[in-house]
Amino acid sequence: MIALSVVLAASAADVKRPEPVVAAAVTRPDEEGAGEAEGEPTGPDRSHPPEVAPPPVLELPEPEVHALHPGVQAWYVRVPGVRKVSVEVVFDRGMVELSHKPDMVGRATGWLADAAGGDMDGAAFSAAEDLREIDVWSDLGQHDGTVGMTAPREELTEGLRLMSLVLREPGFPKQEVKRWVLDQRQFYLIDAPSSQGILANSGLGYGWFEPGHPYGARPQLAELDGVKDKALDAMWGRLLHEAPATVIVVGDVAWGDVEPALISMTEGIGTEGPATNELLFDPPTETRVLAVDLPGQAQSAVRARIAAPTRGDEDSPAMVVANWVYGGHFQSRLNSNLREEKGWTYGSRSSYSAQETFGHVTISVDVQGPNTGATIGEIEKELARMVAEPVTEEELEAAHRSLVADWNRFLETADSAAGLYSFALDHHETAASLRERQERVYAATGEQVQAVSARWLAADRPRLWVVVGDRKTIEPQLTEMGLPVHWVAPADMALGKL
Amino acid sequence: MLPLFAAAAWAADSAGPFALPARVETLDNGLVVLILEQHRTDATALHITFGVGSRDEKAGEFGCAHLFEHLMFEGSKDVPVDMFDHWLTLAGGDNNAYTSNDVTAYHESFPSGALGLALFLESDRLGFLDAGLLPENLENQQKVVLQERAEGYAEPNGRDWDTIARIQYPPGHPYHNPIIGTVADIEGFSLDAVTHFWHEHYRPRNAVLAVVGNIDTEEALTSLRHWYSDVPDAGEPVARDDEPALDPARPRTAALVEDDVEERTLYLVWDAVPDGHPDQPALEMANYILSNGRGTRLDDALYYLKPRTSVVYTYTSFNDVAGEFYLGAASPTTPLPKLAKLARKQIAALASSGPTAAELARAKSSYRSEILDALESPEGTAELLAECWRLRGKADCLTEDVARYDAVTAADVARVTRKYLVDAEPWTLSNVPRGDAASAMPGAVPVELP
Repeated sequence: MIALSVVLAASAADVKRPEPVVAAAVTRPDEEGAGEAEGEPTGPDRSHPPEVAPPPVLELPEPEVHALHPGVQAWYVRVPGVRKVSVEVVFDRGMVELSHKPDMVGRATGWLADAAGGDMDGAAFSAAEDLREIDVWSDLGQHDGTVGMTAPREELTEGLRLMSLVLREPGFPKQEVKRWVLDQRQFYLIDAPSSQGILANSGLGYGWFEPGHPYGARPQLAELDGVKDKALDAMWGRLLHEAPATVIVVGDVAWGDVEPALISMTEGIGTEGPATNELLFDPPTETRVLAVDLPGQAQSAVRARIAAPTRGDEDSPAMVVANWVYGGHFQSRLNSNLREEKGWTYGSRSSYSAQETFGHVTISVDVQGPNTGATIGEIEKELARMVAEPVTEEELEAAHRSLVADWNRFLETADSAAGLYSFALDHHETAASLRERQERVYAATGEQVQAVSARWLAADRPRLWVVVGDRKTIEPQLTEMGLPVHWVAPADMALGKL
Repeated sequence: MLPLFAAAAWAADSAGPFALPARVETLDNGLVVLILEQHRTDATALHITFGVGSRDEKAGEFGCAHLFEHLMFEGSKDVPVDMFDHWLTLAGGDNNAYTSNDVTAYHESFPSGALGLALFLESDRLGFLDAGLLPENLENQQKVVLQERAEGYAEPNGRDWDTIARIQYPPGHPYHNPIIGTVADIEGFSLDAVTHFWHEHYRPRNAVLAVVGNIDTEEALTSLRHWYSDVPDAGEPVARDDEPALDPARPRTAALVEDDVEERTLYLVWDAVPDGHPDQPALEMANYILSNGRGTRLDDALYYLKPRTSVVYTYTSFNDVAGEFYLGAASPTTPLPKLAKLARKQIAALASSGPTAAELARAKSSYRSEILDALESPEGTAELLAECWRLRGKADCLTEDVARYDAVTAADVARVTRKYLVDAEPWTLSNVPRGDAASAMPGAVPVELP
């Protein structure tokens, strides 16, 4: 295999190839030279898999930082050759800072700001984007707000113009606002109560975060009456003027070619101020089981959540590996057990979310109803194995290589690379600190992974279980396991009324 | 560390953005291989498509092509059970596969240093899978597939697409049966039967393999020749039956599914054309013009400006033997005949006056954008390469193919809309809450899946 450094040094001309010719090629067996002494049978050596070189860890470059205005800076990264340019304006304030909790006005503001801008209505704006392969989007999170844009290099001027319209003059057209309100009612009152997957995931969120905490805010449909264009305008105006802002530019474009447009686009927005802090949160202290009855449903959706290290906790890097080994990929211990050995599920998964003030591991699997209790037992059995046995050197090596490959994929397009810088901003990190964190993940040892598993995943750590399926089938199994179950009606679960 | 962004090279090919200047070779055993360098990151992708899908199944073996997709990961002569995934994962790679009416495709992505491993794994299961097929693995994957089927059918509207195929295509047609198969057939497969299926269809001459990524073409070709040198030439693939032409006037069935849902869903489906047909590009443009977000006809008429639906969309599928044009719409309140009438009014208007120049330009741009986005990753490029070869007989087909879409005129769109969607009646499926059959299309009758 050609070395990466050689490949990267190749010129563009090197990778151009002439028009291919279909040839009835003369195969020359054993060109790689495996055991082909004259007269002996030839063929590749299949007695063992071939050696694999470790994947190179690609560097996330430190961006050039430019000041655009007081309270507005820019991170600029030149990526030669990529087709598109990605620009994001990231505000360090979100719904929690602007209205104390995620509410309907905040959600609508983030969702609808990109619907139109300036004098253009929604139809004209959408057509203008599609016509030039431009995508402008907006989002308002709990602690951050973003307007993003991707465009082919040759359409960058028009892309920045449309982005500027959304940023500075979002339209919040009445039709789109009305439609959004209808969609919320549709989701919470019609879609969610009949969807096993939505109910199960709702149970995780509502069961984990108490309703009094901003992170556990329940949807209040009465608030939809206040979702009007003026309210959304006001919320957007506060975002523009009460939050520090950073512009991210990633693509094959010179800084000098974008700087004037960015200065103009961000004039009068942003403010200097302290970085946002996530809110303190205490995870549940007792194991709890929430269940939803869907009569006649043959399948059970099983979910579990367990508290895990925060992002800054020294246990966090090893927990990344622990999660990967436990349920983070197809060959994980959990999926090997439930799918490959038992054939109980089409697939299972675990994930680890690490925030500044809280973290958790979430486990998800759908099984046939009669296997519900046994599946919970196997989930616990595999957690206990994480605690009891160190992960093997082979598992560690696989985790390392896969996590490196996942990291490298972030760098495939301008869009995904910009997303990584945006992630760094949201977590008040730099490219260097993100990279340093990755290296600590790669350096985690088997003993560390076991120790972290023991501290966070052991049987005495509180769990939140959520099970959605046919009560007649599920209840006897849960009762037999001695799990106290709190049954919630589908319509209530959809709205977080536990 | 290597300064990737400072030195990465990406070929801005003078032949245009859709050029696929791949090296094409046919190995001694008949396997066609396509190789294309793409050096933005260390990622490399392998995509191999076999000319076998559910259309190749006979009575009693429905679901075999898809089950076989699972069995291909269960071990071969030199790759013990579970080791395909294990070794690839250990190298930092991952993989997946899919089965359609026409093909079964397998794809892997991995760091470039694992190309040899990927070829070892792929060549072993192409050449020697039968030596690794074990009864216990078959039994396990039968359970997994039954579970996959149960999970899919348990979702709201989860049975709708298989039901539509069942009414649109008559018994005996290769697209009549669900790709996932029937419970009885899945449970009934023997080791002999699946082994026979493999011998018939998994032949080098029935496949095309594409490798795209951070590779050197000559080295990749050497490695391909090496790993496939002992994979025997199993001869030409079993000829597919000549499919009888579909009678365009065959009876239109109105199907009814009473489901555990809270709203009503309507599907209208028309006969379209097979892939490669001259009318395919214009039908695809009609699809984009009717429904592709704000400002398109159905979306504005039924979702944004007069919100009579909770969702409305159109969708096309152009397969080897036949094609379909779908319209889907859902509403918690509007009776489905009313929805059908409103939707068809928009279609009739498009047939009558054709699209505006702005609508057609937007549709063409959206189509090009989808292809260009797929070309940004090695995985997307490898799949497009393999499809180019399979469907057009050459690797570098996209430029010509996209030109067919660029050449579509407003009159073309009006013509195909009238011919396929106005002058022809659709099949319909009404999915309604239990007890709400009165809101379904007139004459809708329950259709059970096997």
